[in-house]
Amino acid sequence: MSTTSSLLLLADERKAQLDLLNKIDESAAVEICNAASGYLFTGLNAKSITNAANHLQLDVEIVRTTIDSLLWLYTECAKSKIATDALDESLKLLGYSTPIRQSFIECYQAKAHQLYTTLANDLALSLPHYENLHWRFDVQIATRSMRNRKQFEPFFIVKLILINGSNKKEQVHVLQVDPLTLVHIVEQLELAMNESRNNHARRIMHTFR
Amino acid sequence: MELNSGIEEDFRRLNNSTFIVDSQYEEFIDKIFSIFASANSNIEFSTSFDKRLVSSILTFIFECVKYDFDETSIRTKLDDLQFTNKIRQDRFLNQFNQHLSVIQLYLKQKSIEHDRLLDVNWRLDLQLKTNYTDKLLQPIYILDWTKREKYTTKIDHIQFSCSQESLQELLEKLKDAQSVLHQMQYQQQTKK
Repeated sequence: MSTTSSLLLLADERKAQLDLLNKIDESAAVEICNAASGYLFTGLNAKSITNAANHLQLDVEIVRTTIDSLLWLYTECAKSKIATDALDESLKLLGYSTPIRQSFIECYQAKAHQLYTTLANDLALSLPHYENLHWRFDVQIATRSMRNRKQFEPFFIVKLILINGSNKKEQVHVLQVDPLTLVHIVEQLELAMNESRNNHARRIMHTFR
Repeated sequence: MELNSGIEEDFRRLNNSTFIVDSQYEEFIDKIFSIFASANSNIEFSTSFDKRLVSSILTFIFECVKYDFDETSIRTKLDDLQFTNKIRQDRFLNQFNQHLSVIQLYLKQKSIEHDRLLDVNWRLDLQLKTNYTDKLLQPIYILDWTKREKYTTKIDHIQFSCSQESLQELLEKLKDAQSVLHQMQYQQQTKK
């Protein structure tokens, strides 16, 4: 499927699979669209599909393939962030009648945002993501091997919490930082921060928009 | 400082000129302190001086540094141990003062450690596409923190990503921490 003209163009196989929607009664087709959107986050439930198929007096296998294709279609729309009118146009070109198109678009819009967030964040390839940072300033006064009355060693303890995108597990790192190292790190991160605000970054963002 | 009877006995022997003559003593003491001078701490001692004697002297040295005794206190301590030979005491103290800072550093290292943060590396990326999304226009920072693991010299890296807002938040927190240093500096100056 491509969206180069910002219209959906489906491969013939998919068209065939979705063809059922044209053949059956309109209200039944609307029902199938609704059912499919329900399965987006819970997965296909064999029992309820059988029930739906019997209720609509259709072959179970065909119903299952149709719902599968509908799910795929929802996902593809979310992936390409297609606009509503473009979606409407595409469905018209594929020959679906108005009520079917409307119900599809409604169902899609209801789930679009959530679908997109899941695709972009949960499934994406990513490193552990920053969650939180706690810090503490300590001074070492004495140890077992040094009881010098003049001992005074300042240092920071930093607790970095990261979240792994794929399994939502927390990683906790406890680190000791010397005062000078901290100053150096703050300097470096400030430079990093300023990089995103300078002309080069702005130009690139603008080019791709 | 509490020293066991074995150590006291060893110092008494060390004071005894028949047990160990002056030249031998000087060589011996120099050798002990040279452990701290060189990076290689495997110094061989000839069999005429047993290992116990070496360990007693080392224990005494460490205890003196640990409690930060000054010269008079050390001399008093040596007198208590019946190590009264003035020339030998001088030799000992001479070497002791020479190597004091190194021994202090050595003892300071023997503390409870955490992993240490050494450096931070960063990269700014622009995410355009993934195989699950098109038209993504997301600037993202990738940070790489270099750390040294506790009790070893092994270097490890912590890599993670963060958005612009998260980096801003992180930076604010670290600047907050840095301000503590400024406060300390200010307090010290006002006290003067």
